[in-house]
Amino acid sequence: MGREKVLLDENGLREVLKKGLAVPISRLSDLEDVVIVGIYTRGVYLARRIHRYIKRIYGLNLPLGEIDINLYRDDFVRRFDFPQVRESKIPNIQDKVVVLVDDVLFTGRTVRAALDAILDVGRPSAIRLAVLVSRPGREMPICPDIVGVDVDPGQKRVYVELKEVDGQDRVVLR
Amino acid sequence: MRVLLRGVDILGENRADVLLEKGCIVRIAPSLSISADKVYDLDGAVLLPSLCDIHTHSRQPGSDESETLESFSKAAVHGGVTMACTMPNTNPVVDNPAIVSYLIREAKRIGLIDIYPVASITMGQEGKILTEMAQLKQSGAVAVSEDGKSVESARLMRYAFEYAKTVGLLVMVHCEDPSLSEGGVMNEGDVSLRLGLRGIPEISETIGILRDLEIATYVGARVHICHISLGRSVKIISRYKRFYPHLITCETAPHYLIFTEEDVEGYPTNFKMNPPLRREQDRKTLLRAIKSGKIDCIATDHAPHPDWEKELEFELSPFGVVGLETWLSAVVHYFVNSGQLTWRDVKRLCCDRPREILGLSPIDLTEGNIADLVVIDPKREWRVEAKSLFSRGKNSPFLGKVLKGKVLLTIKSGKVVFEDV
Amino acid sequence: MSVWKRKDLLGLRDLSREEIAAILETAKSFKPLLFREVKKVPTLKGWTVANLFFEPSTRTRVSFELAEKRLSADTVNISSSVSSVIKGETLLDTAKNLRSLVCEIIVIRHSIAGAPHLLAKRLADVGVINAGDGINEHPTQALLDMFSMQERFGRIEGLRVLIVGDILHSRVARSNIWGLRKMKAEVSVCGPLTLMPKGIDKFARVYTNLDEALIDKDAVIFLRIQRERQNSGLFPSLREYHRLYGMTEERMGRLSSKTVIMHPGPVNRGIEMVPMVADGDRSIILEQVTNGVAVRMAILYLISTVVRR
Repeated sequence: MGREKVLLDENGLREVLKKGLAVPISRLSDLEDVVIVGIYTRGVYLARRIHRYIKRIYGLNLPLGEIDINLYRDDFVRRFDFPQVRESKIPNIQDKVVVLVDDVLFTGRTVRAALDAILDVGRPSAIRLAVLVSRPGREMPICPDIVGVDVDPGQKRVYVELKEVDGQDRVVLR
Repeated sequence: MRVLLRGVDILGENRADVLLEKGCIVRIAPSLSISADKVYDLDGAVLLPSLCDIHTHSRQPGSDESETLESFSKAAVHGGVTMACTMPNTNPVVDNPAIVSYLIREAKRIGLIDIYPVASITMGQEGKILTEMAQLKQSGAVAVSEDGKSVESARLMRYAFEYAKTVGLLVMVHCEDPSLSEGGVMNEGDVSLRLGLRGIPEISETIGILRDLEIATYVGARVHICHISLGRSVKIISRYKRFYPHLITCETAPHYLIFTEEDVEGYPTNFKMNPPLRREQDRKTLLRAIKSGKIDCIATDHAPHPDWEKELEFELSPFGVVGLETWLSAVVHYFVNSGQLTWRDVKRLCCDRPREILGLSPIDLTEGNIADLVVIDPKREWRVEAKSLFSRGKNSPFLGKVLKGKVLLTIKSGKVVFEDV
Repeated sequence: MSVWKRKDLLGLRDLSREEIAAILETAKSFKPLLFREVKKVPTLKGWTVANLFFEPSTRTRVSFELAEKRLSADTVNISSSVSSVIKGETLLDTAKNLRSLVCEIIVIRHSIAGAPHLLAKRLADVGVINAGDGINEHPTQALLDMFSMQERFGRIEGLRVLIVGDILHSRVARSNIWGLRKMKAEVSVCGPLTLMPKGIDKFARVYTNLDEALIDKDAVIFLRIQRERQNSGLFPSLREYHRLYGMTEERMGRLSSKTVIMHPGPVNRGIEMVPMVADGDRSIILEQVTNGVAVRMAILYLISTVVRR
């Protein structure tokens, strides 16, 4: 096990969140009816932070939702690790643009499950994907629309740590 | 044929060499240097008279899938038993002299043990007409019993006692009130409540015992009460025994001394029997009672069933467990090795009293006596598994357990009928 | 990590408080699914669940079937009578056949206590859910009862729950008693002594008078009285039973306004309760039915996280 490398510290993460995610999403909302939906677990906290920032800076109170995709996963191994099923809270998405928010886009399987889940809940006009970190390794034809930072970690893995879950804000390679 | 047993511990009390010839014990001495056809070096294993089991089910005639006389005999000698009383609840029922003769003859032909058949009280055990007890006695029956069930009509039971007394046969009673025990599969109590199983209340056994004791003592007939499972039953029987000491005897089985209703947790069918396993306080009382003699003897109630009958839901599985092969080992493992019973207690409970109840004399381990013997090593361990049992029935509550105490030799009339030295 | 590690749900007697809470929490997440437009989720897609019912039952079986289908599982329904055992096919044979047909979960209802346990022990790679075994347990019913109470009152701890009726023969009563006690509710039972199991006073407060029993209770569960019991000498008549232990209009009048009326169904109208009680606003009987599907979905889901395919 090698040493871990910090890609973004607390300040760096905050900057990427603001400039890389919150600002583009707010611009999107100028053109469309946007609903922000965070994917459990860390996507939810990122979505909440984005929502708060947009409200504070632009005065916009965008509808905010959270989605648990455990019931839609296609990989059973992950299910054994996280069997907890949480209630998804999704506001009205009829004919709106759903912006899915997640921490890391890797294989794309999580996002595929989220697409199924969203479409079972209602009929959005479009679904966009916003991720804090995008890294190579897709197993599904999924492309992010809004990316905070692109990383190629090589043999290592990227981890996003958030205060609400891990006690500190940073992005590391391990 | 001379058999020399070297270095046995007679009743656990003194070490000696024992010479057997012509079916008898001919010499006992601290050391014998005599030639013999078979010599066994037993290195301190204990010598006892062979066991007499007065309550077994051979399932013969008729139920080969559960047991044949051959597998029964082999199972018996594996457990150190050379005499067995077999109960009549077979199909066909043992209610006529021809079947009684057959059982005795066939056992002799197989040549390992002697069978003392118990005939039924009523024809077909239907509870209506008495069997021809005189003829049954003449062909070799030692007692009559309706074991498996009880005679429902008190009036008929009275006639049974009176007639058996006339003819000179012992009545062995299975005490149960079917209207109370109906539908029950285990002891009625805290555990049956927990497991959601219908219970057999204590009063089924005690009411049955009271009825049969009242009738027997009223008539003045001998009565032997089978497989008592409750402390309360001991109390009732002791009270009657005080007034009628020569009429009443009783037995309990090894499983009631070792297991309790708690062992039914998980619904294992090898712990389902009738009467059922009771509470810990009953177990303790029964243990005290065999030590003090309030209970005369131990009998196994050996009841083999084929495994497809035991691999069923608890309620559907038949009652009964096998016991011939584990009897002595279990008594040694749980009670002799722990000091709760002495070897003399074992001799009394498993060898002497059963024979006396049948009107036979006990076997003393002295020169001149018949050589019906068993040698057991109280230190040797063996695991009870389906493949280590000779009986066709593998339904033993000891399956999977390791018992410390193994029969090394079983000898009948001076002939070695089982050896595992 | 996860609280739920069992491949089977055989009863509530052996479950811990945390395990019961995990089921109720999970059921809460599943309930909203029942009301949205797309009621299915693909969670058990490709799984085969067999409903092995040896006792007739429409309600429980349909509830399970719906739960299974909403999880996108394939369902197989087998109604057998216990007499098939006499015909020669044992319970184990039936179950082994099902396993060979590649069925991963078996929901079994049987008239004999311990039957699900036998299956669970013998089929190491099949999840077994007890839908009622003899007079032993009916865990999914008790769980949906508790879920309904929790929904109504926001908690189970400290709730005063009364169960009325044939406690002796009721697996619903027993599972509820075990479960409610684990969750620290106060449990009482009420019925004639002939229908009360000996020793139950160690687990619940025993009343033989219903009017006394109804005072200060939060939830009252009325059990179905089976008409056959009348013939076996356990009580003289249904008429007398209703008078002593039935929920009448008059008793409703005296009941606290917060108390809810429950029943596992189907209700014997006029015996356990008069129609106006069953249909009244204090009755949450229909909520129980809805919650039943959510609870069963939760159980199927949790079991699927343990059964390896």
